[in-house]
This record gives sequence, structure tokens and C-alpha cells, in this order.
Amino acid sequence: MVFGAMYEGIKHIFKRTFTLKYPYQKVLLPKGFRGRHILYMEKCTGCGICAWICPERCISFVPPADGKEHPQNPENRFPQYWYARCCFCHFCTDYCPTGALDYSPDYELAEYDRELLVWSPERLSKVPTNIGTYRSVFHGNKGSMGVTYEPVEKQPKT
Amino acid sequence: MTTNPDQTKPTAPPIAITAAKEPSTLDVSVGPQHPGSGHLRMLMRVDGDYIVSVDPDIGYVHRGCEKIAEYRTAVSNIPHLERPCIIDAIHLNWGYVLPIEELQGIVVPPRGQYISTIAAEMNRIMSHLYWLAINAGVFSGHTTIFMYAFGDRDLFIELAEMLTGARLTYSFLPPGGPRRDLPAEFQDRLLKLLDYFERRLVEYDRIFFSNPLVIARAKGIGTLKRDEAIKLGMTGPVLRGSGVKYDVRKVEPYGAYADLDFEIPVFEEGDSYARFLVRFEEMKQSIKIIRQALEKMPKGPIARKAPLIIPEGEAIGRVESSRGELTYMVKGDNSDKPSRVKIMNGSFRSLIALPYLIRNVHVADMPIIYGSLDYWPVEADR
Repeated sequence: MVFGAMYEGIKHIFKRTFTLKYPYQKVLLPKGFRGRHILYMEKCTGCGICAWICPERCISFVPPADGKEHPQNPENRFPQYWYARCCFCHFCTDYCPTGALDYSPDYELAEYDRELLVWSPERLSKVPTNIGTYRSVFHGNKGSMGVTYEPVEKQPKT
Repeated sequence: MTTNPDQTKPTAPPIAITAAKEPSTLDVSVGPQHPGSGHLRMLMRVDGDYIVSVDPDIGYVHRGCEKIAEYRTAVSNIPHLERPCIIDAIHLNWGYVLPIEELQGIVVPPRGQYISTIAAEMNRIMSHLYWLAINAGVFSGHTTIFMYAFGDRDLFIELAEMLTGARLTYSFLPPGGPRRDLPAEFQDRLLKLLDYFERRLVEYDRIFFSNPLVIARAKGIGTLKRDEAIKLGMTGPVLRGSGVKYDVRKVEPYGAYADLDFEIPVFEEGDSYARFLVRFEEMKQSIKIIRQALEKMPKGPIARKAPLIIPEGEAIGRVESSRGELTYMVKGDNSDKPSRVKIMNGSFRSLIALPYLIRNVHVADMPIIYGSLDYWPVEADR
């Protein structure tokens, strides 16, 4: 019956919405989200496996800006990412033999200038600060549309 | 002032306005700027409200994936080879990895096979929800189901993000096995989501599949008979909608499908509505597969270390993707790059049926038939 179909639609008027008001409210992404990279300069040996595995060839090697020498890195070279090309597959992180690269939940990488998309090793070493504060909570009961977003502070510790 | 003597003569006979005796046809170009067709142009010959013939013009989103694959290493091929159909990324990835594993002689550990199977079936649900929203919902003017299906698809995307780290382009299965084990809260949340989604499927049935308006538009439209479907080389839901029980997951089981109990939904009618129902029933079967896989999940390692070199030889991998059978041929020559990659996918095969289905139908039936094939232009153009 066509009225049955209409009734299903009308039922949803009384259900809670699950919209998040981005960019005022940001969702906290799960651990291991493949956003931009974090580089631990004290671990990097400059072996170049990340650049070899990179499908988009967006990694080049540069010396550190401060000229400081790192004992574990004999050639004194560190990866520099060009985020205009990166496809965020993070094979560089998975194939890094020393764990010098890591995932980060930072995904807001838009810039007004193309040159700013080239991230130097020093810039990659900074830990991101613009992390979301809302977490998706799945209910799955009949009264809701599956999921709501709640501030992280209110989360019960599991 | 002299007069031109020619002007006095009648220059042309008067135009005779008579009714055309032969049926007049008009050639219309549909697309490629996405009027519901994707990046595909359809040269349509219409006679009034009837379509006389359709000639699909493809190749607008050809990227040369097969050629690019010869310049990338075995692992770094994965991100760009799953781009042709990003909403079905796990299947495109898995099909490429199977022949490489065969050449390298690696057997993925059982736990890895089960995780891959769960990811693939979640991907099938997501892909079918996308089809339900756009190709079935929007093309038939049913915007309510578009909102519902997209909303529920996002719940699965959130879980995929939890498992793989990305929303769509997962790059989850390099040679050797999946990249990550199941996260801590993943299993509970997935089971809760499946319960919720099962209830939602009942609502989908009431609002869309049993809706008399949808049935009136889709039933008996674009009928592809069993013999024709086999002759044209259809695969996947299109073939099963024409009454042929064929599924790579049963015929040539890969992953953990050999251990799992599931059915292949088959409908005899062969019309657009039958193809709608095949995908609807497939979502139910995917729920069943995921539940079983979570239950039977073995313990142990998830992946093995794979060599970086593809040995000399040639191998073929087949998977049942959301749009039909997907075949990859990979040829190795003892280097880290494949010397040849050949892709054959379900979308391209579905397109072969399009000129046969859109014939002697109303213009308004074209989006329904096109949507029922679940054609993805980028996947077909590769």
C-alpha cells in the first residue's frame, strides 16, 4: 500500500537527528585514522623506504632546517611530504622499519597557497592540536537514527 | 535605378506543408554531464516518447590504470587500482592481490581471510546502499530512500573507518593479508549495527521495494531473458536477476567463503524490478555472512610477510564484487613491478546489455533500466 510507505516516512519526524555542526563541532576520529603523518625525527634513519613505497611519489628528502645532526641519521636527511599529491594510503607508515612515522587524526590540510602544502620535517613533527571533541555513539534502538554525537567529556569510560 | 531582371522571375517553388507520412525520429544526446547517467554519453534516437535505439559512448573517465600499474610496485599499485570504484574498494583491492599471492606462493592465515571477508561484505552492503540511494532512489524520483540509504551507509562507513583508517579508499589488503586486526570495540558495534540494519531493511521494503509506485515503474521494464543474459556475458546481480545461479563466491570460493553458509538470491523475471530485489536480498545475505564470520573467527596471526618481488609467471584472480565478477590478470617478471595487469569488471559487462534493454521503451523508463544495471562509469573505463 502506498499509505504504508507514507507512514514509514512520517514516523521519522519524531526521531532524533544525528547531524554534527561542522566546523563548530568536530568529530573525534578513531585511533589509527589515516590523516596527515607525524614524523618522529629522533627515530628516522633516512633509509628512504617511505619514498620507495609511496604510490604518488610525494616524499622527498631534505636536511633539517636547524642543521642539527642526528646520530641515527648518517646522511642527515628527513622526509618532506607534498600533500597536494598524497593519497593518504599510509603505506609509508606501515613500511617504516623504525616506527618514525605515525598516523594522526588531522585531516584539515587545505591551504590558500600551493607551496604551503609542502610539509617540512619540522612541521610534520608537531603533534596536531585541532582534534575533534565529539564522539559518535551508536544506539541502534528504535527511537534514534542509529547514532548521536556527544561531547567526549560525557563519555563513560569503557 | 535599374531593376534586376532576375527578380521578376519566381526563384523557388512555394514550400509545401504536408503531414509527414513516415515516423520522424530525433537524435538526443544524454550526458556526459551527469544527468543521472554518470560520465557516460548515450546517443538516443527517439520517436515521440519512445526510444528507438541507444548507443552508449564511453571512455570519458579512462585513466589508463592498467598502464600505470606497470610503473608502480606491487604494493603501491593498490591505492590507484582501487580508485576506479571507490565505493567498492575492498573488492577491487582483493581481486588484484589474489593473483600476486598465488605467484608468490603465500597463503593468508585463516584469521586474515575472515577479516578480509567481513570487510568485503561490509563493502558490499555499502555499495548496494549507494546503489539504492542513487541508482534506484534518485533515478526513479524517490528521494526519501536516497536520504535513508545514505544515512545508514554512513554508519557502515564509520565502522570501516575504525577498521581500516579511511572512509572509502581503504588500501586494506596488501599481499600477505589485511593490514590491521579488528579493533577493540569493533565486534560489539558491528553486531549492534547489523541488528539495527536488519530492522531498517524492513522499513526499506515498505517504503521502496513494496511501494506500488516503484513496482509500477520498474516491473516488466527492461527485461533480459535468461538465454540473452548468458549470451551477452552478464555477471553479478544482472545475471542473477535473469534466473542464472552463478556467483564466484560459490563457484570458486576465495577468502573464508568456503566455510560460511549463505544463499545466492536468484530471480527468474529478468526485469528491472528483479535486479532491484537481487541486491535487496544480497544485503540480507551479507548480514548473515558477517554474523557467521564474527562467530567463527579463528585466533592467530592475521598476515604473513610477503616478498616485494613478483615472481615470473601469470596468474588470474576472481572475486565477486558488488557489480559482478571482477577478474585481474597479473604477469610478473621477477621484478618489484608487474609487467602486465589486465582488469575485467562487472560494470563493463553490464553496459553491453544497455542497447538491448533500452529499446522500444518510454524515455522515462531509461533511468530505471540504467539504474537497475548499477553501472559505474569509472570502473568500466578503467
